[in-house]
Order: sequence, then C-alpha cells, then structure tokens
Amino acid sequence: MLNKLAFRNAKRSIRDYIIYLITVTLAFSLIFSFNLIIFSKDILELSSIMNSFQMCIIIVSIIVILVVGWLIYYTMKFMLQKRSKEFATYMILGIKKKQIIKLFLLENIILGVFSLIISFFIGIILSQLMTLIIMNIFQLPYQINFSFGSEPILLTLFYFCLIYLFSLWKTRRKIKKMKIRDLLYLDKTNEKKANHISRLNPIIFIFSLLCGIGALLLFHNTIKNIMEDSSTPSGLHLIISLVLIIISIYGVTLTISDFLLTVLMKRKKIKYHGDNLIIIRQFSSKIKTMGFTLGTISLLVTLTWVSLNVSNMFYGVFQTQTENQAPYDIMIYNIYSETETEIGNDSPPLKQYIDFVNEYYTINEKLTYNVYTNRETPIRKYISNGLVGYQPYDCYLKLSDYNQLLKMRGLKEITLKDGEYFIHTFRDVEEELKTYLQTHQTIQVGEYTLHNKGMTSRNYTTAWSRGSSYIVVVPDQVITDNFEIVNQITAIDTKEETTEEFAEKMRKKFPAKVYVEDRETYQTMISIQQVTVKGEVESENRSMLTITTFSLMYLAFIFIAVVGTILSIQSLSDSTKYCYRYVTLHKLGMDAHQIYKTLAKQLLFFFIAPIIYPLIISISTAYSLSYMFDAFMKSDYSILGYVIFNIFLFLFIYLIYYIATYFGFKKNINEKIKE
Amino acid sequence: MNEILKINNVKKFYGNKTNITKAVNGITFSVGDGEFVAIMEASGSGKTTLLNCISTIDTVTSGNIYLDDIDITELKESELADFRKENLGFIFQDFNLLDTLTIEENIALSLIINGDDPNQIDPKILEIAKKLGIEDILEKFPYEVSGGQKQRCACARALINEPQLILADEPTGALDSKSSRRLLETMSEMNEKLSATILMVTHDPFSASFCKRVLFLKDGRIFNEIHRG
Repeated sequence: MLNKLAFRNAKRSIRDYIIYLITVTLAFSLIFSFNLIIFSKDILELSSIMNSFQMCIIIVSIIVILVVGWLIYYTMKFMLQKRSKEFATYMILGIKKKQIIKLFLLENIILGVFSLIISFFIGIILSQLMTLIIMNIFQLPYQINFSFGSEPILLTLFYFCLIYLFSLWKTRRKIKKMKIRDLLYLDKTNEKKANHISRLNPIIFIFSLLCGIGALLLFHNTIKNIMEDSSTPSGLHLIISLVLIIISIYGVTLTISDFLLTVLMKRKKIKYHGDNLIIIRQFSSKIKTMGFTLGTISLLVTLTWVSLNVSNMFYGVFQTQTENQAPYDIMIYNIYSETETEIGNDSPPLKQYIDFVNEYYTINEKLTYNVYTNRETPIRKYISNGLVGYQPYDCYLKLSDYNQLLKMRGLKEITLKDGEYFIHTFRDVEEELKTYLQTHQTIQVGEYTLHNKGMTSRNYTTAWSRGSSYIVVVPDQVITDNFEIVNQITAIDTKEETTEEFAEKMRKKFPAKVYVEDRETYQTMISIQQVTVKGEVESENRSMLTITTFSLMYLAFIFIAVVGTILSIQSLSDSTKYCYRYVTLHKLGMDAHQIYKTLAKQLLFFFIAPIIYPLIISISTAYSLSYMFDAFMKSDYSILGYVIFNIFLFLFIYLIYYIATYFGFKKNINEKIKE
Repeated sequence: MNEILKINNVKKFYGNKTNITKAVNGITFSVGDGEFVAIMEASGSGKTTLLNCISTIDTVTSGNIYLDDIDITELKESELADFRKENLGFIFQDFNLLDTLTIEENIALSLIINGDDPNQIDPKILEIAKKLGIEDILEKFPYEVSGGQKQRCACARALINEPQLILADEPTGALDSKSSRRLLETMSEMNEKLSATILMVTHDPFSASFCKRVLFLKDGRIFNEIHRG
C-alpha cells in the first residue's frame, strides 16, 4: 500500500519538479559520462599524463557531489514544506511518523533512481561526444565505441548513494523532529517578515563592497608581482584575497536589499513609478528570507565564471605552447662536439644523437646553430628583470641561421642590410621593447652600430634562445671571434611524426644533465633536458589542455545548472504560496498583462541579483590573470574574447532556466486569477 | 436620488445539466449615490457571487449590471481591469494587504496602479489616513498592526481613488466585536462625511444594522428589504 502511494506521489511530483528532475538527470549524466571517459582505455592511452586526468576528475567529482547533494537536499526541504499539510493529515489519521518518513524517502528514491536510469543513457551519448572532442584535440581518428567496464557504473552508483544517503539522512532528521503542529504550519513559516530598513546594513553593504574591491586589488597586485618577480612570497596574499572575496560576496548579497531600499525608497518618483514599489519590496523580502542561499549562489556563479575563464585561458596556452616550446621535431641542446666526448662535458658527441634519431626516423633537414653573446647589455638593461628570462646578457642569432630556422618552419625569411638588426620577441616583452625602440635609434654590437629594421612577436619560440625572452638577429659579419656561444642547438626536421615513446627512449639513452651555472654573483644548479621531442611536448600539451578544460567545464556546467534550478524551485514554490499577492493586484485593477510584466521584471531581478557581483569579480580576476596568461595567447584580444564568450555562454543557459521559471510561474498565477 | 448601480434580473448558475446550482436567481435592485447598502444572507454562496459579478471578477449567466449607466456585463476582458481601477474600491474579509509593503505603501498601491503623479501620492495618503485615524501606523508593516487597523488600511486603499462604488465583502469577518464596531463606525463616517457609496455583503445582523438599507437574500433571490428609520 505504502509503495503504491509512494509511486503515485512520485509520479505526481514529476510534473511539479520537472526543472529539478531535468537538472538532476543532466548532473548524473555528466557524472556518468566523465566516469566513462576516465576509465576508457582509448583516452588513458593517449599519453602518459592522462592518468592524472582520472585523479583530477575524481577530485572535481567530489565538489560536484557536494553541490548536487546540496541541490537535492534543498529540493527535498521544499517538497516537505509544500506537502507538510498532507503529512499532517496522514498523521492525524493515525499513520505513524516512521511510515510517513518511509513514504517520503521512498518517493524521493524513486525519483532519484528514475533520473539515474535515464542519465545512464544520456551519459553514454555524452561520453561519446566528449571522446570525439578529446580525440579531435589529439588529432586522432575516432570510432564510436559503446563498450565499457563495470567501474564507471559502480563509481556512479557510489556517488549516487553518497548524495542520496546524505540528503535522505538530513531530511529524515528534519521530519523526525517535527510535531503535527509544525507540519500544519510549515508552509506558513517560510518567508521572514518584511523588516524595516536597517540602518546598519547599508553601511555593511558599502564596507563589503570596499572589502571586495580591496581583495580584487590585492589579487591583482599579487599576480602582477608574481609575474614581475617570481621570488616574492605570494601564497598568503592570494589566500587572504580569496577569503576576502568570499566574505564580500556574502556581505554584499545579504545587505544589498537594504542598501537599495535606502537609496530608492527616499526618491518618491522612483518609488511610486510604475510597478517599482511592488518589485523592490518583493525582491528585498526574498533576499531577507534566502540571503545566505543567495550568497552561496553568488559564490557558485563566481566560481562558474572564473572556471570558464581559466579553462579557456589554459586552452589558449596549451594551444600555442607546442609551437613555443618545440617548433622542430627534435631539438638537441648544448652538445658542442660533433664526434668526440668533450673534456669537462661528459655528454656523448652529437653524432651519437643523430645516429639514434636515424634509427627511428628519416631526417629531412638538420641545422646546428649558435646563440651568441658578447656579455654586453645594450637592450637588456632597459627591460624589467621579471620579463627577460635568466640570461644576463643580450643574445644574438646570425641572420643566415635565423632565416634557415624560419624556412624549416615554413615561415617567410627576412632580409637585413648591413647596419640593420631585427628583434624577435616573446609577447610579454613586446610592450617594453617598443618603448625602448622609440627612444633608442641604434645599438652598438661589438664594432658595429646597428639600426632597428623591425620587430615581431609572431611565432616566437624559446628554442631559439634558451633563457632569454627575445633574440636579436644581426647580419652574419657582426658576430666575430670576440663573441662567445651561450647555447648550441641542433634542430632536426623528420619525415615522420615523432612520438612520446621515442622521447622516453631517447631520454633513457641520453639522460638530463645537471649543470652548475655561474651567474657572476651566485651559482645555481640547473638540470637541463638536452633533448626536446615535438611529439612528446605536443602530447603533454594536449593532455593538459584536455585535463584542465574538461575538469573546469564540468564544474562550471554543474554549477550553472544547480544555481538555475535552485532559483527556479524557489520562485515556483512562491508562485503557489504567494499567488494571493497577484490576485489582490488583479482585484485592485491590474490587468493580467500588467501582472505578467511585473512578474517578468520581478523574476528578472531575482535571477540577475546573484550574478551582477560575480560578473564584476570574474571580469576583474580575468583581467588580473591576463598578466599571467596574456603572453601565451594568440592575440591581445584572446582573453577578452574568452571572457565575453563565457558571459554569453552562462547567460544563455541561465536564460533557459529563467524562461522556464517565468512560464511555470505564469501558469500557476493564471489559474488563480481565472478562478 | 441618482442611481449609481442598477442590477437587472441577474442570474448566475453553476454546474452542469444534471446538477445546477442557482447561486443568483434573478435579482433586481439599485443603489443610489451616497447610499450605504447591505446585502444579507444567512449562509450560502449567493451574496459573494453577486458581489463578484458586480466587481467584474465573475461574469453573469444572464441579466445586466449598470454602473453609472455603463453595462459592465458587456465590457470586454481588456476593459475590465481599467474599469475596476477607475470605478471600484474593494474591502475584503481577509484584508488582502500585501505583506511586503508598509501600510502607507499598501494604500499607495491603488494610486500607483492608476498611474497617479508620484508627487501627489504622499499628501493624498496622509489626508485619508488622518480621516481614518491611521496616520500613526503608516510606516508599519501589516503584521505589526491589529486586524482593525489592517481593515482601516484596506478602507483607505478603497477610498483613496474616490471610486463611484465601494464593495465590501464581509469586512468584519476576521475582526473581534470591538474592532468590528469601530470599523463599521468608520464605514458609516466614510459614507456620511465623504459621501462614499458602499455596498456591503454580510451574514452578520450587527454589521447590517449600520446600513441605511438592507436587502435580504435567500436561495438566490431577494425576499425582503428594510430601511433604517
């Protein structure tokens, strides 16, 4: 009997909580699809670091479980409130509380299992889609593959049980404590009484806002300092700024309504214009009732935007990193002798390396070139220390080498007349170099006075000048015997694509060396990898790109869905509970059309309020983080583009929740008005 | 006396062919300008149904209702809301004040919906509040004042637009006897001093005793009418 009743009630709930059920189903679909991916052999075998993808997603899943668990508990609380009278009636009729708890929990389990079953199907499709995207990142062909082991299912079931056990346990405790009287009046206790405008809250609001601005400035400066001088301790500053941002988010959300009331209510023209009074008052009463929840929602929205922004920035970084780190198939560093082992350098001669490469690949082209210095700093002394890299002097490339290197990459060669030089630079030094060039017409390199021919930051690679963020290209004759060699590099272009496995074999054969570096004032031990293989770097970057973007996107989507759902559930429950407000307005002469307009505005306020501050925070943090990421981006506007794209992506999904809520609300009050 | 409201053979039936409830079954009467009329019925739904029809919240099955010579049964759906806000004032049994607004703002609501000049709203509220003796509680929220005060706030809201007709549905239904008496005295004053025309439905003889004329309803028809001497 109880089962039958539970089943019937669950069926009825589907209609009332359709938005919630869709969200829970989507959340479980995402959880399941990610579990499928992290246990998929195809994915794990893509590269050696894809194993950390598994760990990363499991950690992200813990956050997801907490947030989805919160959503489910929150909704159960709502269902309980809505049906409290029904339960009180059961109890008055003599059904034991234990049975009622069983009934309610059973209903929720039925709904949960129902979503879970559907999410298994959606999850499989989603996982195929995501695998396709990952394969695309690795530029590999993909065939649809529906087979999977038991681990993804078991792990998903485990998460499901965790979430439901937590929510059911909390709800059970809540019901257990309640008396019939509480249940009878539970639906009347939700909204806190509208309060008089607090004098203190507007002050707290301004204080919180200032606290937020301070935190964002601290965050910005810390990031800037890290970029300019990585030796400054910054962990504590970052933590303080993040804590302050969180405090500020809650402070602002909890007090914004009193601030608005104080500002707006004094101005009669605004107060009594149109439906302003109704909207402002409803809004502030809503915030008073669920201020803390709205604070948490704001926090989640902030995290969503920040996650999306950071994930896109990483995407940008890893996309350009391969070109930056390994523009040629194989690069061998600082092996100065062609055939014999050098004295004082126990590395095997270059020939052995080349022979080893020849065993596996056909060499198309090969160039050994030098990076020179004359221990002078005509340009470097004008550039900030944090930007230039560890080389203490200006470094030079011969024009012939440079052109050959460009040719190997399929880029256009340059010409220099005698007495001209050219700068190729990493993006983050470009600005300072430009300023430098405006004030310095010529430089003195050895015996030559050279004019600047131009500068570019496109297609820069660290391979040309280890340890320096820019390289000066000069006509060959400028480099005389007085110059010393900073680095000697061999770039090899192979016919076949290089692989990660080859890199490992090569490293095994020629292990990394530890050098003692003499930097005049102090000595440092540095370990330098002598070989860079494009296949390995590429695979690392692709893996990192996959891991970061997928993990952060996963979080972001769950957050948006949970936020949208909670706002929606809250509004829809109001639509039945407070519909008398609209009926009164209707009786007083507001026509249905006006009421819907007021409703749309009121919901808009409710949906927009928790996202304005996060929007400001996310834009500000993105601006700060751009100091860190901008240099790696394809263009100056990449990050701005990401930020704008993410704002719209979020708003698009959010808008769906808003529209669904509006129509649900409208339907509910429409029924009452028509009665 | 100029007749403001004319009810002409109004019928309102509910239900289907096999089971018809004749809530209002051919009622005809009129209310003159400045009158305070009660419709009394011991129990049943007839009086509230009639009031709902007059207030354009419900439609009639047949018959006509004229307010100031306009047949409101002929008005289109789109015209009804405007008609209500321009011509009618309401006092409900359970006050129907918005709990999120202060007393002052609740009174302002009618004016706001009517699109009045924001600068004129405050003086108007103060004037009416003084007349009804609620000027001290304007800043309070409904939950902070007594039932009687709430109902006087509702009266102020109904009066402030200077409507042609005020409709009151069991206004004392949720009040104790002392508050009821004060409210009815207030309504009498509204009628006498402010010349408000009031039509009240009630089941309570005491309430009806404040009116100048009482119509008795039974089984959807008027079966008696008395005038106060």
